[in-house]
Amino acid sequence: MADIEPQGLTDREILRSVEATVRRVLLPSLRDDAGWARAVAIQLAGLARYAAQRPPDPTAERVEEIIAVLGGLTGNEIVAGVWSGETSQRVVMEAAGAALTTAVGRDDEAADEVRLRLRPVLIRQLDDELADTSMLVDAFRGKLDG
Amino acid sequence: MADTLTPESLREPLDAWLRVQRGDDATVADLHRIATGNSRSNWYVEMSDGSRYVARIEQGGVFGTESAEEFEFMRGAHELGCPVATVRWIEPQGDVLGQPFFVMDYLDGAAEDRNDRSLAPDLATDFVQRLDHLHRTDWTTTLESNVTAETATRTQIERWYHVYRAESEIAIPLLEEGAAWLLHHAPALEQVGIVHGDPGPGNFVHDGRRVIAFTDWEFTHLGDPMEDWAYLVNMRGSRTMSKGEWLELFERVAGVTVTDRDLQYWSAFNYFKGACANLTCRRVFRTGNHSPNMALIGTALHQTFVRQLADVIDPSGGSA
Repeated sequence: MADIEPQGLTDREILRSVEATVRRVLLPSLRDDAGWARAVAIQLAGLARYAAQRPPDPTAERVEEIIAVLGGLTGNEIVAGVWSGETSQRVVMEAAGAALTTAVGRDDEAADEVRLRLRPVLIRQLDDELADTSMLVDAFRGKLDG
Repeated sequence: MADTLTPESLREPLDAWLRVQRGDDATVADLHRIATGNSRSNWYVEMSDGSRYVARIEQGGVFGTESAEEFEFMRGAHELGCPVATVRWIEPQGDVLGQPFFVMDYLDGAAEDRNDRSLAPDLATDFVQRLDHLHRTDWTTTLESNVTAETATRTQIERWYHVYRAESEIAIPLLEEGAAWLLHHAPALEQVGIVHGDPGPGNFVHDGRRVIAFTDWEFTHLGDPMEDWAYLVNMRGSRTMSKGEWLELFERVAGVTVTDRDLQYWSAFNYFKGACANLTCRRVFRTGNHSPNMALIGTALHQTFVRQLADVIDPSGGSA
């Protein structure tokens, strides 16, 4: 069937309602001495905003990217020693960690290569994640608008 | 789990338990949650005879710390003359309230806002003196432990590594690297001291000029006191004063010199510890405590610590 228009509310629409209601109705209604309730309300509003705005979960793409990096390092003695080539998330992430761990304290070409090619990808992926979740840090600290 | 606790659900079992512990008929007259703390659910308890307590209730393993250990350190520190609230009774099984908890005396303080990280000069001086005293006190007279100077730091790294691995079946490569870096670069320790683990503004009660009691002992352990000094500079005390001002204060008041190397190592350790501990909140949020602080700590705050750890040990800075 073509051209179906969903008739139900989306999760995003519902989450926007949660955030707006907490901010405009519930928070102003709290007593001044309701410190815990106020803190939790701000955190809930931040969590709802995050849930409404976050992009689709990128885990699969990120694992694929790490597989590609490890695949490009198969001639590297460290990577060869820690990665069997299996591409399950668990094995790949374990191998990435083991490669970084093995490189610690070593000052040779293989260790440099791991640090120069694998580590920056992991850092960038983390930075991408933090760009989406930083609003949660603000909410944790009691701020809703940065 | 603890986020479902309400005054109504707590009052009756707590009332009955306190009557047994106290051996009298006083009843709970006032009970409300205190707006501080994420590791524990803290409740103000006032009895009909005017006695005031704090009930400190676990939240399903948040931060991988246990009431029994916290209670024991607080009791020991009290016996050693360190500023700490008197701990009264502990229920370590979770049979009464569904979670382990203990009860300590409530202390009045001058600070109203726990997020206010400012310190008056006299108070900052007293705080550093008292923290230094905690570090240097002879704990062997009141605490039992087989921790030695040779094993203390490694023990802590392994402790937090195991906390992280128990929470995540999927490895976090930058945390793996952090653990390896910490083990590789662990400095020699001359003397094991009591390390508070979370010291600083917001985590002690004071009268405006002097410390009345250190609070939040859940991270306390035996180890290298340099962990606490670095924690003050880069974490809990970072909004209080500059790095240079903290370091000058440590030197002047406590005779403690914190080198750049010390600061780098123990900052890395503290970020590692924070990243591992915070991960527990993700599991707690998923499995029953749906309080939003659990979600925030278990995701964004955890990731922030991983990022800071990676930055501190960045091999392009010549550290690895």
